[in-house]
Amino acid sequence: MSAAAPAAPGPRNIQLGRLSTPKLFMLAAIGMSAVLIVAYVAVLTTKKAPQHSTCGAVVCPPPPRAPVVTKELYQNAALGYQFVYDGDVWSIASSDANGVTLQAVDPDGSVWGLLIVEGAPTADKDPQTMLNDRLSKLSDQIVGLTPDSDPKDAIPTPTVGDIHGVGGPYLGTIDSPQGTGQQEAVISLAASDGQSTVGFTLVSSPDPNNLPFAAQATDQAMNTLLFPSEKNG
Amino acid sequence: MRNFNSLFVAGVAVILLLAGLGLYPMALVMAAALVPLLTSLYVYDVDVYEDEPLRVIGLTMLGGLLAGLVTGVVARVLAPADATSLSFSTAKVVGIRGVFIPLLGLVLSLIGPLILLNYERFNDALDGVTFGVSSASMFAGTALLVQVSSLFQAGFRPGGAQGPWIVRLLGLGVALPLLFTGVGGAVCAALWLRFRAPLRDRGALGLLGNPPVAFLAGAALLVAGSVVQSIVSGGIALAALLVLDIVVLLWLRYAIHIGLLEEAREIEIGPEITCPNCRRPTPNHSFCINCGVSFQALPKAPSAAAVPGGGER
Repeated sequence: MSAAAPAAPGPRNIQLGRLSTPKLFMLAAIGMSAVLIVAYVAVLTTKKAPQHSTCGAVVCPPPPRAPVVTKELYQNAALGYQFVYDGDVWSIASSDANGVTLQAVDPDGSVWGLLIVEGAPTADKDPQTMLNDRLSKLSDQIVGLTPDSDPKDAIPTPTVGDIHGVGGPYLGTIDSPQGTGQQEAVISLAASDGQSTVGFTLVSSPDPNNLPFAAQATDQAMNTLLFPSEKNG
Repeated sequence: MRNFNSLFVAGVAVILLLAGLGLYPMALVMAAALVPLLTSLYVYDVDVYEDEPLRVIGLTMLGGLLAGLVTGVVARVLAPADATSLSFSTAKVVGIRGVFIPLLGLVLSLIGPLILLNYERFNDALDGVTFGVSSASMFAGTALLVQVSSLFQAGFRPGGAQGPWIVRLLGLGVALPLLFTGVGGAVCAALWLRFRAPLRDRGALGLLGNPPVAFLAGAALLVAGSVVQSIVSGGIALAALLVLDIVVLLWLRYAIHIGLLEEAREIEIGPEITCPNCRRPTPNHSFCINCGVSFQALPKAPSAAAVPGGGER
């Protein structure tokens, strides 16, 4: 690179450009059409084939349950709830006074399931408030998070531990400063024993090779949940 | 420029239409392609590459495309946009996606224009602006395309509330490309002013005419845009990006103004011509005496014979 005296800028001839207005608009229309065609072909060739029910029913039964081999106990000292999770599937990603975040990691390091377990005194947060707060937080990182209306994903009776609660399945797309990423399935449930409200939120790829196993591992943990009143009673 | 403004508005309308139909992956592709497409048409229209199209297109547009490809892949490897990213701490997301990736992108997208800086035939500050804008716009589009391609697996209608999607698409298709292209153009303006402008003009942009300062200021704007998006979302993130857009476009506009003045000093008043903008008679110089449009900002003519009073290139 040289800072030597450059040649003086030459004067520019002026006209309306090489392209007349109709030609410019035509080229732009062709360009945009080409972009749409390329996008169409790209989505068509990349999208996964729709998953048909192999069990003949609208809602298939969950996959056969594998026994929990490595039992890990999580106890929340501040709120008094506890549950057992499969240590072969989940590892602790982070924790705080209210709960814990577990992650299921592939050998290549990618996370195929994220389970957020949180609690709060019911006087501060009822189940509906906890659910709304969780979905609101997730909406900061997941674009267009909305209830999943697919009947096969429905949860007829949302239950946490042995207590009926609120929540259900949702779908959205992960976001980042550089753009949106992968579509994710979210299952968020919350319930209360009158003293404490506890919520379980699973985030996982909706891939049928993935979600049923993440959901099963979440179910196993949720079924072992003991609220403070159940522990004491 | 009115034509390009109209085309930009039409492109945004297509993005919104696709979003309204729930065709989010296709809307994302259009969002990624709109600014690079219009920039390509503009570069062709103004004939900025003169008689060296392959070199200029290769070092600006294809260079930007390659930079976007590399940056997009690095971003996906370091911070995959799936459930993995939700397990990251905010500090880690800000560090990778908010700081490192934008800086990497800025450095890579400047490589092509920096090579063109060595060619004395491209001696207008406005050439530098055009090269910077071309490379950066192609970079932004390609990086976005690499990022969003994982959504294609979900099909044409992956589902999701339309309101948040429309806001996000406006950010990705309008605000973010404008930020990148503005910074690319402004940083290159500083480079061209420093190394290609006459000595008297080198201080005209003040501190922002100093390439290292301009680079740091541009990097700060890009990092600010990415960090904001790492921390907040929705309308707040879009509003913050638009504020940054205004800042960078004012900077770019001032740099273009300096470039226009630089050229104006070199031009003698010519015979009367018809203004291509308002169609009224005006002396052939830098600006139309009727509508004030800058003739230097208008496309160059393909030959001197095309317009009375035009000089040789």
